[in-house]
Amino acid sequence: MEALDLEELAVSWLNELLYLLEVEGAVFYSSALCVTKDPVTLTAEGVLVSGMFRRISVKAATYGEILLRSEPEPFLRIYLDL
Amino acid sequence: MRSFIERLDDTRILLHPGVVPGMRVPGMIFADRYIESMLDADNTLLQIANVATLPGILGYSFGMPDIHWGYGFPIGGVAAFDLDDGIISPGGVGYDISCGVRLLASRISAEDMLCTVDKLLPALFSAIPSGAISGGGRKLSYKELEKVLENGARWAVKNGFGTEKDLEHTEENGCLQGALPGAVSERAKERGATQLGTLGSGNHFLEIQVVDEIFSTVDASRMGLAVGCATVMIHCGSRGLGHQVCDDALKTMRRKMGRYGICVPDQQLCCAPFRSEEGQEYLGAMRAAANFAMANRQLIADSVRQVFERFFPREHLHTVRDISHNLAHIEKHRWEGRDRIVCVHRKGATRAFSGQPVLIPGSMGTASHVLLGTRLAEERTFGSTCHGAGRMMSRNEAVKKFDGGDLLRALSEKGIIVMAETGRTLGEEAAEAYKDVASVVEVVHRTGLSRKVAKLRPIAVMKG
Repeated sequence: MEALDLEELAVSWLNELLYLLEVEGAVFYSSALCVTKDPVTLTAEGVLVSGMFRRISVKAATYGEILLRSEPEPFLRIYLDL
Repeated sequence: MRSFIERLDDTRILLHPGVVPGMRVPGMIFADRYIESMLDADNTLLQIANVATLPGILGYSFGMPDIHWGYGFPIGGVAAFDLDDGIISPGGVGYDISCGVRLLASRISAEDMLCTVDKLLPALFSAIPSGAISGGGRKLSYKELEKVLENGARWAVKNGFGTEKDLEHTEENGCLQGALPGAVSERAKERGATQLGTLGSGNHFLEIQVVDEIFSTVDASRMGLAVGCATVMIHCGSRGLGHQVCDDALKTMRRKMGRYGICVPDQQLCCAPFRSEEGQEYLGAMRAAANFAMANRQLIADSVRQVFERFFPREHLHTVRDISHNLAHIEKHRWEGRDRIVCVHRKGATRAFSGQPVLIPGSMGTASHVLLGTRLAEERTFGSTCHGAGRMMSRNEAVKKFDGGDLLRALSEKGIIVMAETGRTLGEEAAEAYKDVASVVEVVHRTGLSRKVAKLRPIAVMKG
């Protein structure tokens, strides 16, 4: 995935997973994740898991009060609209 | 924060500019002291202040008495924007575009309903797909879906899912004009293709109720409501299709905002000038999603009728009203002495024009209310009122605090039967996680934003 900035990348990635869950019924265990800053890209690999996992319905990952920082340690806060 | 708050009277609080830099108008919150005591618990007041910074906002950034923290805009927030200088914001409508409520009324007595409800509820549960599993609804071809997006509940009635009478009692006669199906992304259409006629999960529900109390005999009679008679309330929205429309627009506007010189204090408030290409595209897509939501409630109402017919073949369920509480409408209002066409964003708030029925669902196990819009609402809040009880506890917090099994037993002792997809939903939706809906309704009644017409007592609840 490509994005304007890291915030958009994080929100878009989560929304991509929600889309795959809703349309394909696909749930993944993430096995590898690579994020680059310039250009802003995310490459992910995952293992497709079968079974019923949809106990919580998530409408979307939001930008509301999103917080992303690298210091003192990497931290990302994203609110999900349930 | 406290130094910016001024209580004007028993039900109104003014939030003076200065809470955040760039507030163009004050905030106005309709709250008694009980509701005010909950405003400090989260960043709700800050969110009202943030909305007040948006370009072209008119009058006030409003908070209805059911207000609580949301994403960007607070839930229970209302803001009107000038069409020339103002903006349109997907966050001001929310993800569940045209989430709303339909009320069906009958002449079935409470006694007859109580004898039948233990068979009726499972039949409804089996007929109406619900829960986090997204599909299960009517499968639509691409062409059919485009027609739904363009024509809303009218498409449903035309295809045999209801009557013209239903449309007469649906907001905008069941179809928002100016919908642009072409502005709805393929991804959104893909999500909606199997979801028409489904309830969803979260706070969505279908409830069998009994009219418990009438406050205005004339108005209740006009709506076909009589004490002791059964009603059905449906609460749901535009499902994944609406969520995707919102998400798509947020991404676009967040990228383009800088070009228009717009800076927002919270990224979820991202927006575009109303008359811009992005603004108009979102307006068209939002209207299409709203049409999907109205068609969705129309199909569910039709399924409810089919199930009722098996148990009460001589009875008919008529639509009292179908309203949205997450929408942006273009409306004419008299403001500061002159008529203006404005874009009113209502997120968790209901249009309450004079004489229009307003439906206020309670939290699980508590009463719902039917109100009537007033001229005062038109003068003071761009014709807006509250939409429900309003959360006071997050879903996560509620799940940790309340056990689904315990709640089922407690509701059963009160004579309310519940069917839900998961116990987690029950915990999330515990009545204690919400404000007291009667207090919320009392505030809008006392303020004159709406008038009480009837109170509806739940006897059976179906949750997604």
